Amino acid sequence: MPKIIYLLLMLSSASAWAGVPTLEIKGFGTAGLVRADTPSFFLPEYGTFGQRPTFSPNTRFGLNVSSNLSDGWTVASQFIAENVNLGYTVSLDWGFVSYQPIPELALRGGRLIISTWLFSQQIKVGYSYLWVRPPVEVYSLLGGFTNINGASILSHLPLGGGELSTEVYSGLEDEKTYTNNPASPTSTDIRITDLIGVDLNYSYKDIWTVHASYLQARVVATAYSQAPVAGPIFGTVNTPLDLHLGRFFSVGGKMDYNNFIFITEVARRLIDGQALQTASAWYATLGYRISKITPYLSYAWQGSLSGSFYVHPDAPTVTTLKKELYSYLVGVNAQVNDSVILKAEWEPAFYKFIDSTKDFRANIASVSANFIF
Amino acid sequence: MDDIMKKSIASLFAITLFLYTHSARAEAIVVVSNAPGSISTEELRNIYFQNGGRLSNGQVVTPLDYKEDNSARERFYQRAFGRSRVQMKAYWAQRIFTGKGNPPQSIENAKEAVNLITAKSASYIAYMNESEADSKLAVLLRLP
Repeated sequence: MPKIIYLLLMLSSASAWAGVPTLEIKGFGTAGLVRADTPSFFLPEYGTFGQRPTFSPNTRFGLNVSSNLSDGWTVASQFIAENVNLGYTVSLDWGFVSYQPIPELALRGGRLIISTWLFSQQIKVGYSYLWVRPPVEVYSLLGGFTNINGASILSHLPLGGGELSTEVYSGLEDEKTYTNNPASPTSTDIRITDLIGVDLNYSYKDIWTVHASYLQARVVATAYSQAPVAGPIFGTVNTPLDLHLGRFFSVGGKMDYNNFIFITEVARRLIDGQALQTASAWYATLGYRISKITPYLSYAWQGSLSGSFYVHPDAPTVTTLKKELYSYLVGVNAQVNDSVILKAEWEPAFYKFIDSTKDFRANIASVSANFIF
Repeated sequence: MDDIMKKSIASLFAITLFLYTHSARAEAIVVVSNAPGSISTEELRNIYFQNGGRLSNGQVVTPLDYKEDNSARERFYQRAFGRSRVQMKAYWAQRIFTGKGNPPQSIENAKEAVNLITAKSASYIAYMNESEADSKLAVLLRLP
């Protein structure tokens, strides 16, 4: 864990012991059940599940500790307990020191979440968005890469009756991701360096929001199989497979007007590697709020001409190249009270492969209870 | 006779309740600070939704707010921004859990707001029922 995070935790603790009146402790959580109508189904970023309903891919708890210090200094941190690395663990989701010399500008340093998507900042806070989970076709486009150790400059400016937020960030990340498949656990080390990114967000009175993002970084990915009999996933074990400059673009928007909710995002990943290939994705969601109940429909798609890595559930020790995946979704979001939201979804998902004999379809059913306190 | 008396009391109670709720509903909310001037609802929105900002004259101000069960708070957000208590809670949940910021400092009542605004050199902005506004405060905006 980087030294700056220890420093941050010490600062948070010190603030608490010093009795700083602005210390805030908040929490959130999601308890979610998910099942598929196939014996084994691998959902990118959420792991593998089957016909038996399981809590693990959609259940997490978080604790947020922040303190406004004097003279524009703030420390903030968030811890998450969730099922990663083949078991429940508690980790620092993000934590940073922020200095805001004027209301329009903030400088941050520490562990940051990057705003590659409309909902990437709050992706673990189920209470804060419409679906059980943001569409994986789009939100898995960067693998598990959501955080950096680095710094950012954030500005807010009133513009045309709305607010324009701009964030420029730079940093690095060394992350291990897991397929979470008990039959054949695999892991991938991803080292990201020379990263620089910019996000623009324009929000008009919470009626509509437009978001655009760009980032580029050098990526080294090394994959391992943890099963005793299985060999390396790509190439030779411990050998870096990709050393490429990757680029990523996304544009999206959200409108909430007269009880109609419309959300869409389009994204493209440009990288010419062995483990990661150039791919595009988009989704569109339409909902209608009836008092505290919001039914919604969604369609999401991800495609790659050359194919991209996927662990096929029918043959988990063999990698295959995914060409296209898409899903339809019907769901309902119900606000129970100020602090609790229930959600239910049914989602037929289709996977197309370079080798078309491996194509398959699964129907995924998900329910979740999301709360804040 | 008893029935007439009961009906009269019930009618009187209903009229009183109507007048009371009607007058409470009608009471204006005022946005106040320590320096004369004016503020638009858009500027006010930027200040309250970002927990800090500038007035049109460039002065940096810090907003004061009340606890969630305060009746003036609900009317303020509804009248100024068309936002309910649930919507504001969801908005701040999103800000807090993404590390984008915390809500304005919560104080107990309008009296505390008056004391903070008039006593501190720092520039505070607050809202309150019109009847609670001290004559030493400058009214920047009235929300009928």
